[in-house]
Amino acid sequence: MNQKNKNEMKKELQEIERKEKDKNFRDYCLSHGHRPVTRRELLGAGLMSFTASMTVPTLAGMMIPRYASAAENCPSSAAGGSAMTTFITLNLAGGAMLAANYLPTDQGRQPLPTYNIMGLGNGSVPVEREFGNVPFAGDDGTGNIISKLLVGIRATASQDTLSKTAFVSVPVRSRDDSGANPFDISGLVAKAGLLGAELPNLGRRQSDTGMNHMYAKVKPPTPLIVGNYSDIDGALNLGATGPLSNLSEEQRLSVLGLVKKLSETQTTRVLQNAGGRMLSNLVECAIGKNIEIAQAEKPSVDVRQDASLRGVWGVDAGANDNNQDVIFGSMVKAGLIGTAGTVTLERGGYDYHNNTRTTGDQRDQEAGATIGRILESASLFNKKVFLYVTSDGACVSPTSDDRNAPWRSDRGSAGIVYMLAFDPSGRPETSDHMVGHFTDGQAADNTFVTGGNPELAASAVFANYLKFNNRMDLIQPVLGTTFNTSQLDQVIKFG
Amino acid sequence: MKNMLRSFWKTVSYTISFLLITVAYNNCGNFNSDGGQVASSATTEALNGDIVPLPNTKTSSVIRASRVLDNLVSCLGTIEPSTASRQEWSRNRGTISEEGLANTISQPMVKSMVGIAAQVCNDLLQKEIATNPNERRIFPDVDLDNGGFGTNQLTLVSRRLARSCWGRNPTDDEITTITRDVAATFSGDEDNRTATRNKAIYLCTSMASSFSTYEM
Repeated sequence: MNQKNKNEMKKELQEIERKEKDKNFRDYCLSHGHRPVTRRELLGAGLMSFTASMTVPTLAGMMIPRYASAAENCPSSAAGGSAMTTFITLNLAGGAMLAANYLPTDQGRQPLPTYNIMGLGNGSVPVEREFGNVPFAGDDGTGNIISKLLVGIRATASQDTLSKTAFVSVPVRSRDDSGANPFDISGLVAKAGLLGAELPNLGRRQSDTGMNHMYAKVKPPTPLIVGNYSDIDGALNLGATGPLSNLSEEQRLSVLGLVKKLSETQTTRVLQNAGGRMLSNLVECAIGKNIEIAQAEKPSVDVRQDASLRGVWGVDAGANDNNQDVIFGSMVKAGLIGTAGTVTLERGGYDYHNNTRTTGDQRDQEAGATIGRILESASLFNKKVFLYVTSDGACVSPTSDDRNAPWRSDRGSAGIVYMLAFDPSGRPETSDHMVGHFTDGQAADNTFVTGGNPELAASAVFANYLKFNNRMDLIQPVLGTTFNTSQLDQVIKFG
Repeated sequence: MKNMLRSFWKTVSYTISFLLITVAYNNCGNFNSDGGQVASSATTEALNGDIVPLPNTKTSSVIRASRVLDNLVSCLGTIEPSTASRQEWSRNRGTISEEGLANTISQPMVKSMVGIAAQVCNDLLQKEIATNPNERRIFPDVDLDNGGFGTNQLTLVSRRLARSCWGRNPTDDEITTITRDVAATFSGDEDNRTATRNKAIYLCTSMASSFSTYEM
């Protein structure tokens, strides 16, 4: 068959197909009294393949209204398994002295001349290594590990888990005792594709981010604020409590069905408005998603119902809904099994400069215990996790050679954030344990690209998250031109 | 010559087909409830998902979180929200858009609207139960004590709820949808007090959490 005959046959086939679709379209209109609008209706009318095979864009544009594919434009979810790694933020609200746990070094990766306003004494701080070769403030000579955060981690995470975890810090100056630091990257992570099968974003505080930080670059999906476990349960199971609990399961589902039918009709009234098409689409998607959730068989995210996780989180089956470890454990489980997208935990009490070291050490150890539990939970589920530890500002001690000097005041210039990445198949490869460095003045170097700007530091964390996911193709579409190539090379330490 | 003629008629037939399809398509059904065609709003949405206001065009928005409870209390006429309603709103307000921007609508937000509406509807029901039937605002025709919530009462109640919460009369299509769904959902239930009250909660919640209630 020569090329000419092939082309003629192709044209004939296209003509036949088009006539058939035209007939389907007319039949649909006649039988339904309206044109096909939704994806389902288009499929029902046999028009979806038609739209795909049309070769005249302007004609296709006239044939199919812009909002017709609304259902196709719903935000994607992790249903069926998101390819992106579980992402958890742990914020220590108040200004934790993270730089007195992990031991920051100078640009040459040498110890600072002194740490005497960082509560660690002179420059010869004993070092305890973990996560490969990462330095933490070590034994003070009495068998006491100075870094209580490390003590907490080791108390709750097994050595096997720690051997499969990488750690990288990002020194960055931040505002003390402030919610104005744009450290949150859950919006960026969601934009990269981690949305959760049912709940896009979980948080703990009434704010845009679910914690006491502003967001960096991209506003996150509105978080479900988890005040106690029943908030998650209520979000996953409509009518689990309250007046709707008097209805049967089918009747509760029917409520959503009626809301959907009414709303679909009602949103057509706003299509001419600015943003009307988007609003209509989002309403349709949101209600449809609720129906999907109501119909789906759901694995429990309740940490109390999982014997192994109960051990990790130190809770018993009868623990209260408002027990912090019940809440944290359940939120973490929701993230690990893909029910939730980004998960933001927050611990309070980190504005702990009360002229003692006792309160600070206790809080640091509690934070470490939470970090260890998150890593251990991931290990239990055999899942990767990327954990981001933040705070607002830091502390200063009196000038002292004491390796356990008390915390006297705020000092945001000594701020630092952590990244920890667990991979059940083995410790993720890293090229360094620090993005940027500290100066001899015992502060984050703000001449480094991320050292003086929390939003850039947060962006660097996101870049490392993408690298950990082997998705550097998303840098440009999600992060844009925040960093040039040279800067990306400086800030990416994973992989 | 023959080929030229064939080509000419082919072009003519394509053109006529195209015009017929376009005309038939545009006459096929209601584009929107006003009978007008739907304008493309492609230019109103920036690539980053933000909504760009247009001159002389209303910008879509929804009720902001701080107003959700007050709005429901007002439209359902319960005057004061119960503790349960306040708690439900407080627990869920974080999922509802702070600014009412159209691009912030999410699955948890819609679910929260349903949950809060259910609580305020329960406030309404309890208030109406305690009120003389002739003095009830929404359910005067319904025997909430002994049962009795037929199609006629359903239509009347739906109209009252729509006028109150949607600010307009329901369309015939909406009434049809409501009566059909209520009938199907409660088809196996006896016409007793429990079923009647459940129907009242079902109807009120569905209407009070549909889009027209929280559209701004």
